[in-house]
Amino acid sequence: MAGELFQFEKACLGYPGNEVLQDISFHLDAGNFIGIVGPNGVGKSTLVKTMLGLLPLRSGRMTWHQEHARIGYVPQREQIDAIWPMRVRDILQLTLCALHRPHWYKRGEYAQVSEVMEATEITALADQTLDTLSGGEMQRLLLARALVVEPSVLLLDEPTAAMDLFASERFMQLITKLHRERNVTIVMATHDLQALVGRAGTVGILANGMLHYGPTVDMLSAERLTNVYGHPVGVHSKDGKLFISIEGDA
Amino acid sequence: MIAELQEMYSFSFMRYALTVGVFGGGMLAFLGIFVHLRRIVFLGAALPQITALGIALAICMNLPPLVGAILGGLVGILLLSTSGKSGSLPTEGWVGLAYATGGSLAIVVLALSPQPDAGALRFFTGDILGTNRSEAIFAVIVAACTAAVFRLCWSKFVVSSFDPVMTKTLGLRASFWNALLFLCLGFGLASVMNSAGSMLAFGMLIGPPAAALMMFRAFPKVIVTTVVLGAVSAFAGLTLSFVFDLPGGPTMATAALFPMLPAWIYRKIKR
Repeated sequence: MAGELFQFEKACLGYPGNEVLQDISFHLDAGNFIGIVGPNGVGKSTLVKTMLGLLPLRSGRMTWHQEHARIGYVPQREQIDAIWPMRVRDILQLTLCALHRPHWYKRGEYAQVSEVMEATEITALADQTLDTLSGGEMQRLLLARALVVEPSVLLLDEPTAAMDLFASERFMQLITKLHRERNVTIVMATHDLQALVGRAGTVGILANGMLHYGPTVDMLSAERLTNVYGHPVGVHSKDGKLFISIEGDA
Repeated sequence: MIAELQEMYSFSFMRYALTVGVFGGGMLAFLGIFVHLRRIVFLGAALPQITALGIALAICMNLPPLVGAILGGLVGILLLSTSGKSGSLPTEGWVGLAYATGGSLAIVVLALSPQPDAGALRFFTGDILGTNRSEAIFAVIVAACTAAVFRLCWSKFVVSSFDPVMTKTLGLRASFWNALLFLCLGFGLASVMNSAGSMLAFGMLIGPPAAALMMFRAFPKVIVTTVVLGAVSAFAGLTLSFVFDLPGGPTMATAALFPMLPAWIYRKIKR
């Protein structure tokens, strides 16, 4: 996997009568891991929805360079209704069946499903129903569902929101492993700046309707983050790793 | 007892009623699984009322009631599936308006009809014993077509209903599968409404799948239980209505809702 995968050219994103992001120019290379950050309501979800094709561009241009580029979308787990009477394995098999002919559901083993369940550490949950999963397990299932279609790129919309510290860290470790081992391109909108340190090669910061992006180490500077969030943010280095903290009272 | 049942169902009107109850009711019960899981039960309540309005208009214009039922169902689905997008009123508001408007206007239109039909009210009171052969055949055809469509495209229906956003990102036409589901629902409602009225249609749509979803957490068991409960309650309700001289449609609807009680107890015990 190499070369340019995706590009925005002078793109305006948003809704009729409400342009959330203006004049965005941005490109994504295959194999990159980019984190999209910014304060609440700045347009992270708008950016993700536009890349997914769920929102039309207001103006400018959006290009997926790979023909038939398949996107694996990992929503927040709150978007999934656990009332559906399905097992973990069923969700993955049905997703796979829906893409291929015939569309009916055949019981039995699907090698691709087993492989993805193993990669996302949910094999032990295969026969559990949705309503029995914890938040972290549900999020790993959504990651597995995105991977089972063999995507060119993974788009994650605040996947660790409302997760406890350990579940969040486990999920991020999993993402990092998938990125390294499978060279999956990753675009992740998140509030968790610390989670991106040492993982994302590039960070895009949304502020005042603009997108600024660059290498993670350069983008996560105290001065820049303080300007973006309107509050003193400290960035410290220890043993070669960056640590981000809020300075003073939030 | 067998001899009594044989005698009861030796009448053609009972066989036609049973056919509509078992096939139409079983099909609506199956579609009701999606109505519950998609959390659109209010829509399921409003649609029969709009279908009733279609039947009333057809009678008023001297057209076959079945034509009105189909057109009413389809127009209702079109209106309700696009409602709420303007943002002026929440979807539930539109559904409530459709329920009230459809139900009341149907009676008013029927009362204003220049060709008063003594049998017209059966569509609203649920007198399923007035069902004729062609109505029974229509219910069987709609049930068979619905079963075939869902069998062939099961994964599409489930994936697009479960997560429409993910469906779109996979390049699948979520709106198409959505429309097909509602089309089946429209024809299903028309086939039952045309013979047995809104009470039975809504009872079948809600009762059997609710009981099955209370008892089981796996699709195969939910589907089998739902369809069996729909068919059995149609048979039981019709038989009881004959024995005790009760109105057919409402008795069948009551029978369709009854399994919710043992299902609720089963769920409590299982927990």
